[in-house]
Amino acid sequence: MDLLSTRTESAGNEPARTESAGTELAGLIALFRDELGVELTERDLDTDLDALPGWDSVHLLRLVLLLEEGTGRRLPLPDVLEARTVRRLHTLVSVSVSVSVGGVGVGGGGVGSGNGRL
Amino acid sequence: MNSRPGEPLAVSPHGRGRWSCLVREELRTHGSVLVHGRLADWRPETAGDADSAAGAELRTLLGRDWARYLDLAHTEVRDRYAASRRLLKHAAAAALRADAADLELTYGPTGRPSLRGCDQIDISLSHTDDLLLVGLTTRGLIGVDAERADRQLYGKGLDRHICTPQERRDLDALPPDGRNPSLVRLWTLKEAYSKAIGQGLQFRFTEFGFGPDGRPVRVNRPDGTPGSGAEWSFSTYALDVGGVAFCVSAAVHDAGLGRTLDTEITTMLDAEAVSAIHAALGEPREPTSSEAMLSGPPRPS
Repeated sequence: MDLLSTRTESAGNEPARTESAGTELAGLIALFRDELGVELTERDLDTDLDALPGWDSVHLLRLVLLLEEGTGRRLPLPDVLEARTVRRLHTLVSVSVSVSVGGVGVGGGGVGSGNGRL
Repeated sequence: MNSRPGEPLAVSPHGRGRWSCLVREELRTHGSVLVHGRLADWRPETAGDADSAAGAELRTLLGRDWARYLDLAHTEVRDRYAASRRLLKHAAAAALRADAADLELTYGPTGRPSLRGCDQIDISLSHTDDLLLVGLTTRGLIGVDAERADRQLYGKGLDRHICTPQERRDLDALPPDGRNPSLVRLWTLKEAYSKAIGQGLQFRFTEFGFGPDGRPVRVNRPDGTPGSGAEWSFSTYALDVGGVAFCVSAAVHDAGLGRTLDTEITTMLDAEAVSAIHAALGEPREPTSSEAMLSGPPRPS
């Protein structure tokens, strides 16, 4: 199943409802290939994102944007940075989606949210 | 005080004697210098075989980074890792009149590199495509970033995650064909600033902004009001490398210590490092006046 096929229906601050309780790893791999132009092999799933060919911080930001659009949930950037690999990222997204189904968002500080640091 | 580096210097592994003088001259003049090289020129002539002459040389040069280099599975990533550190160490060696293999890199929690034992010179590294970029400063802190000028950032929703509300208003006020180049400039400035302060993407890019091109650049708050003073200086350059246009930015924080005119390594080593070296060599000695100033009042033993 494509990750984006788990698109959620949410409005305002209401908890998101998902069409699927989880996200498939294959969908995440397809998203890397089709949207970011990054081809992944099996061994890349446990490779640090920084060690993937062509990977950079623009890719990371775009990935967060795509995942947020795909899941309907805000993903805290520190969590994404901490995930570091595709497999852990998949776990993070799955947890985010399944927890959101239960009505307890794990977000709070998604990309672009403010905490007034300067 | 203007701490902005001059135009980036193009350097290659050959003719180091010539460009090394220019690096030191730029540091004396501006307190900061940017150098750039091509991946094709700085790529190591080895696939990681430490038994070959080239491999042994690379192993010596990389030092503690050798293990990380071997861990990288993809050839392209390994070559880029080695090439960028070759350039970084040779540029720092030029500034310090040192041997590149004698310099050791250390990394902070967010991956920010620094020269172990040389606290008085700060370094930053960026690479994209065929471009490798290094920033050096004796002023305080430096961050650099490079991006292909034609990279498409605008129109993919990224501006919402990169820009402050004021920056988005500024972008919207531009002609359509000027928006992507302006967003690329903002992106490199933000990357450079966040690298200088050692935060990377941990510091949300929507939390700080920069004004439009053509005016003195400073850090702004999200609403566009000033967020930093004259201690920070920013600069952006257009580079043509092998027929490809790049946008390059640098952020320099001036700690207010003035320019350091002598960057030789024996002067730049911090006092504790010098003491440790002499202790290891069993050479008791009196500290020089500059070391005494750096180390402050005597501490109880």
